[in-house]
Amino acid sequence: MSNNISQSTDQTRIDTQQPSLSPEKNGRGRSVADGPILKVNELKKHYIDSTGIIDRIRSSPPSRVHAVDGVSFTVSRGDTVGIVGESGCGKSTLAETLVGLKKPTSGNATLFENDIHEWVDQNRKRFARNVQFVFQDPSSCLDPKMTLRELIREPLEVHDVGTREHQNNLVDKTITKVGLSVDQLDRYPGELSGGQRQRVGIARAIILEPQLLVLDEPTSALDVSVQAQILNLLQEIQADLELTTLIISHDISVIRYLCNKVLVMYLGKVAEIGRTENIFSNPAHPYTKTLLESVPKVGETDIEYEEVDPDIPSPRDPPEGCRFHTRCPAIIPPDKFNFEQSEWKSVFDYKLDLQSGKLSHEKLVSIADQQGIDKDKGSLTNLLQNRYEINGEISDSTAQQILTESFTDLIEGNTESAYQIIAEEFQSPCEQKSPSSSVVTDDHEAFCHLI
Amino acid sequence: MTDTAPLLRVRDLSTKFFTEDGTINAADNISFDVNEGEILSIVGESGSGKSVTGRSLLGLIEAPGEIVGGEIWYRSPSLAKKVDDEIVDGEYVDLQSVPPSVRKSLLGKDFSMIFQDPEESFNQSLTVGRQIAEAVEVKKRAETGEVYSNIDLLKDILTPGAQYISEESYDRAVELLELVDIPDYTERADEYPHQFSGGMLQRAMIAQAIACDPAFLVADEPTTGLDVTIQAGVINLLKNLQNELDLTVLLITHNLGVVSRLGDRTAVMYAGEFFEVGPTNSVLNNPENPYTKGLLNSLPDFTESNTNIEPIPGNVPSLLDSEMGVGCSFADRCPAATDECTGSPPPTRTVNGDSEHRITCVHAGDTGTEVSLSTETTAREELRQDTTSKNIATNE
Repeated sequence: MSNNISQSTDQTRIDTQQPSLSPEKNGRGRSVADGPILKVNELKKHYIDSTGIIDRIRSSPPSRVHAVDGVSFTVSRGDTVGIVGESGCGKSTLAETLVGLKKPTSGNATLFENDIHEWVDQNRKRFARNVQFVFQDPSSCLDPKMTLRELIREPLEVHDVGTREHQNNLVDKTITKVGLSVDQLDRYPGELSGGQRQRVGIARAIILEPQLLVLDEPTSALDVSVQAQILNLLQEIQADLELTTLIISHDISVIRYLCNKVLVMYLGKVAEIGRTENIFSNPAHPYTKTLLESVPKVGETDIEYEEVDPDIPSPRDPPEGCRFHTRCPAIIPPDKFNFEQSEWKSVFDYKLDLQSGKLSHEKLVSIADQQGIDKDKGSLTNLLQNRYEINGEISDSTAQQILTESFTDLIEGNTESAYQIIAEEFQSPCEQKSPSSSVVTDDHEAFCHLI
Repeated sequence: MTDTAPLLRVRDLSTKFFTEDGTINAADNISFDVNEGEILSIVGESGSGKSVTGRSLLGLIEAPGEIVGGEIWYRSPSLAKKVDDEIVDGEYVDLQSVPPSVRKSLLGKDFSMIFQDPEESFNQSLTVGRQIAEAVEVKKRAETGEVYSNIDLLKDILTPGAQYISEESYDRAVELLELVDIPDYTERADEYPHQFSGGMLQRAMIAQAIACDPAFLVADEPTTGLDVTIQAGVINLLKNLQNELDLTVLLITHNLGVVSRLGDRTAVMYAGEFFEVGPTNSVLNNPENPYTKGLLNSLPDFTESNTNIEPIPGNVPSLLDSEMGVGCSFADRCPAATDECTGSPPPTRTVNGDSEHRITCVHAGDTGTEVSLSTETTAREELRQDTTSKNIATNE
């Protein structure tokens, strides 16, 4: 059956091809079939706030949300790439930029060696024929007044594929392919369940046999048992049509099930990319480790989990150096001191709080007030030690001296110098320069100073 | 599980929704116990009636819904002294029979709830601290017999929010924020809900729920919509609070992973009925009911790659009374279904001699161990007929 479909669509493709279009030249030629079909090169997408009149008079620069901030990767034909990360890491923006819905701020992405955004500017329709998108919420992206036949046929009509009869044949074939039956074609989306609607969404996307299919959270609106049906459907379609797929999901087990390659994103940057087995069996980046550990696994009862700082920095003002350094449990200590990792993490947290203004002399006093603690030096030092889980002296005596000095300054009301002392002496490579890519194994890269 | 006597005994609880399309059996003759100091999780897909069950226990069902039958026995020696002897059994009080005012007075103090969507549940125009303090204040005033009078209302209108909440209540709210590990709780208390991140707001929500030291807490999807890293923190928090405050928690979730980390006991719900109840470990690692098995098989495996998942065919059934048969409601999707399944309601039996682990299925469980938690069969039949006649009556 699949042969039939691909034959017939190939036919229609020939019918409707417009030879004048430059992207076609390399486009479907098999010359690039072995190499990567999608190349993303230092892609950046910043959202720039609209500036008010006062800002304009002052000519202060508008604030930028660094949603995608220099992402590079390649996708080969037949790959299924999963993009994971916490909310706000830029995964959806990345996908929207790759399907041409958003223009990049800088960098570029090429599909078959043609720049996606030039292509979109020239002929969006031709581009859309190659790249399709499946949306998260199947109920809000289907017109409730159209029957399933009309809905699934719509892309064919937009792209002028064949005659009406031919279109209807294709619709019939596609609907069985997504696991619905032909006699459901006269129904309306309102009569369908969530899973069935998502099937219709997928049918609409694959009926044009796109080269690249992008799915944004395809199953997150579905129940577990229905999600499994859709996952299996996606896997079948993937194998059947030899699609190249990008899947965005916050559900890491979904990514593991469907994808052969995983891209872990954190605050607009790639943290780790590699083959799925490698990422899951041997995660190299501390963020990936954290992410994988935090997923509650079925059947594992009574697991103690070490939390990470839940405070995700804002992509408006992302941290310098490695973006994850503010939360990283494995942050690298400075060379000149002999720290235990836990001690160093405590000291570093103290430094970060001073830096961000979360801790100051005034705040310290108000905390002491709140807890009914005396404001003498000893008690306040104790308070600080408890707050940052520093138990007694730290193992390096020079470091202890510096820390004591900083504590004293803070307690005496000199927040600025308390920070200066500690900022000068305790510097981690992680906050100074952003990590470059290091190869872990074949096809497995991580962006971390530790590797 | 510190005590042998359960905190709540629920017997034959039925909650129905009388909608234009017909009667919906959201909770259908459910019987279970909630032990003191445990976390009992109810898992199920959407529309299986898990939220309705939780809300029924708290008496939060609103029209067109109604608790049509059953008893909810709550162990409270102090309450038992106050109400009529007829509805008291030892230390237990039947909450279905107490006057509505008494029932309402239990909310917050004895029973509390964490709602699913904190963004929706908080008032966006009041600071978080005030909203938590309000819960504390209401309880304090109720204890001293004060009620919110018209004068209070007038004061509130003239100087919004300033009069009603006393300083002590506000301080208590700040303490509560500290208890749920919100950093900089003093400043945070003075911020508005939109200034909180999702995870922080969920913590604030938990603070509000435990403000009046409840004995029993219903947590309805407390981690849904949170990132995994944040979710892990909220799970830890719930677990710690439950230990520290000796809370009894009913956790409602669709996430089996969350259940694994949190639940002492787990109940699997399908189409308004409990299909399998038991210690979390037994239910998730040695499931007996075909539905539980199906549910677990349809989850992509996190630890192993390329294991096949087997989806359960079909869809979650509608709970319309007219569309439900007498037999097992999972029969039409069940791989092990036979004619017996559709003929009569499935029995509830124990599994592997473990009296804690019970399942409702014709084909599984230890024979001859039918658990008679209730006079289920007859009650169910009668109820069905009852509602059918009611339906006809309303249609006419």
